[in-house]
Amino acid sequence: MAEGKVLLIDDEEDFTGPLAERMKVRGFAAVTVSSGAKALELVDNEPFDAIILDMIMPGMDGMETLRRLREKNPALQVIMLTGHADLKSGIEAIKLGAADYLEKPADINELMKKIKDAQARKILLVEKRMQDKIEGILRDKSW
Amino acid sequence: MIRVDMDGQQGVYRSGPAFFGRITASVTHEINNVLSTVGELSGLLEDLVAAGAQKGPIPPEKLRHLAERLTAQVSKGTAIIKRLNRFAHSTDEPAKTVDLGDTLALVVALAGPFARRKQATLETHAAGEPFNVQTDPFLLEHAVFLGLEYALQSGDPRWLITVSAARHEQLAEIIISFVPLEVPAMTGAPWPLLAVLMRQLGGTVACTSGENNTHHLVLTIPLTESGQPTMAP
Repeated sequence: MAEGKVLLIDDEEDFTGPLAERMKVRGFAAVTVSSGAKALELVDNEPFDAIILDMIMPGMDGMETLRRLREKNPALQVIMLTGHADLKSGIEAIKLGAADYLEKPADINELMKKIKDAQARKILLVEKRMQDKIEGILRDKSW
Repeated sequence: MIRVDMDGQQGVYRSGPAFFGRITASVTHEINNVLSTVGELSGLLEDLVAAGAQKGPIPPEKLRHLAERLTAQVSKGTAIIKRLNRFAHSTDEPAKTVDLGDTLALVVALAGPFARRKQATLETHAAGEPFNVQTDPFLLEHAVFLGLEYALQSGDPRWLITVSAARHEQLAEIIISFVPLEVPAMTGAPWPLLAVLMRQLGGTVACTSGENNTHHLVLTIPLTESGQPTMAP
C-alpha cells in the first residue's frame, strides 16, 4: 500500500512521467495531469497529500491554478515548481497559500522531504478540523 | 510622421536589449525544462539500477525505452540551443543578406513558447521561391516578433496565426494573418515601436482586414538597401 498520494501538474509530460515513476519507487502513488483545469476537476473527487504545481503552463498558469485550488480547499498542500526561483514569485506564491516552492531541476530527495512535510501538515489540519467539529457538537449539546 | 518623444527615444533605445532579454529568458526556460526531464530520466535509471540489486536485472525493453526518451530530450535541447545561437548571431552585422523564409521560421520558433502560453498556434507558409533581403537581421527579427506579439494579444487563440512572405518587385512583404477577438486598435503598444523599427528598416507597417474577419499585419521592407532585388542561389 502506498505511503501517500501526490498530484503532479505540469504541461511537460516528458517530465512528469519519470517523476511519477520515481515517486512510486519511494512509496508514493502519483497522478499526473497536464493542465490546471484538469487538476481542478480531479481534486473534487480524489484526496492528495501534496500537489506539485508548475509555475508556467499554457492557458491557466501556475499562480491562477494555485488560487483556484486553494479556493476549493484551503487545506490543500501545494508545492510550486518554478524554473527561476526569484524572490518575487516565491513571495507571491506563499501569499496565495503555497506550502513551499522549489526551483527546477529539483533534487528528488529535497522534493520528497517537502512532500512528507506537506503530508504531516495536512494530517494536523484534518485533525484540528475534526477536533473543532467535535467541540462544536459538544457545545451544541449543552450538557 | 511618427513623433517619438524623449521617453520614446529611450524606449526605442532600450527595446533592443529588452527584446534580446525576453527571448533569452524564454529559451533558457525551455532548456531548463529539457534538463529537468533529463534529470528525472537519469534519476529513474539510477533508481532502477538500485532496485535491480534486489529485484534482478532491469528488463532490456525498459532500458531501451529510457534510452530513447533521453535521446529525444538531447535532440530537443540541441535544436533549442541552435536557435538561440542563431538568434544571438543576428546581432553580428547591422547589414546582411538573409533568406527571408529562414528568418521568419526562426522568429516563429522563438515565439513558439509565447504562443503556447496563450494556447495559440503559429505557422509559417513558405513563399513560392526562397528569396533574400539585405537588411539588419536583428531589427527585422524584432519587428516580426512585435507583429506576432500583437497578433497573440489581440487574436482569437482558436484560429491559426500564419506568417508568410511575398515579393513584389523591389519590396518584400511579411504578412501576419490572424482573426482578432475584437477589431484591433492601432494605438498604444506595440504600434509606435513597430513603426519606428520599420522606418529604421526602410519599410512600413499596415493592418488590413480580409475575408472571414481575418486581419493581415503587413510589414514591407525593401529587398536591398540599394533597392535592387537579390535572389537566393
